[in-house]
Amino acid sequence: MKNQTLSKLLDGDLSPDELERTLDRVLADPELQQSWHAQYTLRSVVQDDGIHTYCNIVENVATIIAEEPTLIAPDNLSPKRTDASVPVGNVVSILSKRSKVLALTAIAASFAAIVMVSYSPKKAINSTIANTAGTMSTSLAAEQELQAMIVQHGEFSGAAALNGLVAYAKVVNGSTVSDAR
Amino acid sequence: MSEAEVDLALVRRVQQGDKQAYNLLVGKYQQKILRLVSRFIRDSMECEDVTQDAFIKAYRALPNFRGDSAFYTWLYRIAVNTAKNYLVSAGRRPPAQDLDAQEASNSVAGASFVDLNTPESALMNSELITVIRKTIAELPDTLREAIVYREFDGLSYEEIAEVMDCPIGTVRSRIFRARETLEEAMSPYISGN
Repeated sequence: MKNQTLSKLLDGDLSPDELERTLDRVLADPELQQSWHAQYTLRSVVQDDGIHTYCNIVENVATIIAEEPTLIAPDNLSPKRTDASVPVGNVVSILSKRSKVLALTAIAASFAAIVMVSYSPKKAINSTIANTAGTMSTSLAAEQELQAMIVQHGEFSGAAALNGLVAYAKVVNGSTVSDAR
Repeated sequence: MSEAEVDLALVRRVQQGDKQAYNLLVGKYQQKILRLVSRFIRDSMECEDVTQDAFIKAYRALPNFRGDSAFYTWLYRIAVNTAKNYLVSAGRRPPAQDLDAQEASNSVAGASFVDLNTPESALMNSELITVIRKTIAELPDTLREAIVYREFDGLSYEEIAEVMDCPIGTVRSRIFRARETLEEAMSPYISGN
């Protein structure tokens, strides 16, 4: 162990500024990294009465993630750092969860719209569906058939990836739309 | 600043693209996760593979870690799920009794773990424990007391200063010197680890 600051880091005894500076130093110095690993081995020995195996999990994981694209969290998950830390290698931007949901919902809506315009039931309702929603004539049987088709092909829609969201369509006529308004 | 905050600072760096910061987290928690996984999986090699897999999965999921829970709690859940999924995929049944998630924030010492050490590593482990105990016993009284209060009893610097009736700065210095001595004594046993 080369310096007392690392000892303080191990005990969480640094101010936020000192913490960032110390991490910068540790991450730039292989000897300090070796000390970090040694001290946690020591802690495992004294607190857990021994270490489990002499394995190289750190090295193996480091080798594997070195091959992986550098992951960058969205800004709302990770506060901006003051020091410039420019990632190297391939960079994959991860969409935020909310953005994903919105995108998938949009895909699901597109799917439902395609169903609405391409559906061809045996009954006479199909031509009115193909015209405008406002002039559709209501038929319970046709609506059930339409729902069944959506469910049957639902795995191809974005909604399949969303928990609790089910693609749904309802056949309405002009008066219903007027009433709803 | 707590240890959880140090973890969070490292996590933020990984989220900004610093892969090296993740190695520090792996080094910090590898033994705890190995112990945890050994509750599910008996075979030493499988246990190491699953532990490694859990760390890789955690790395890939890290962009979505928001810091709502402590990093170790989050990692603990990933490791438990990875171990269970491994057993299912291998056609084995995971234990019916689930592990208490509350344990995640505590040390996993004292639970009924499988000894994963091979005869050779068990011997080295035994030697390492002996060396550490001997080195601690041979430390000057003030250093020994400080490191024992800190590492064995988990006292804070303030508490140690009160017990030892000395300034906090002295406590810091004593703990540092004890660690320095111990690290030197341990080095033949942990090189390359």
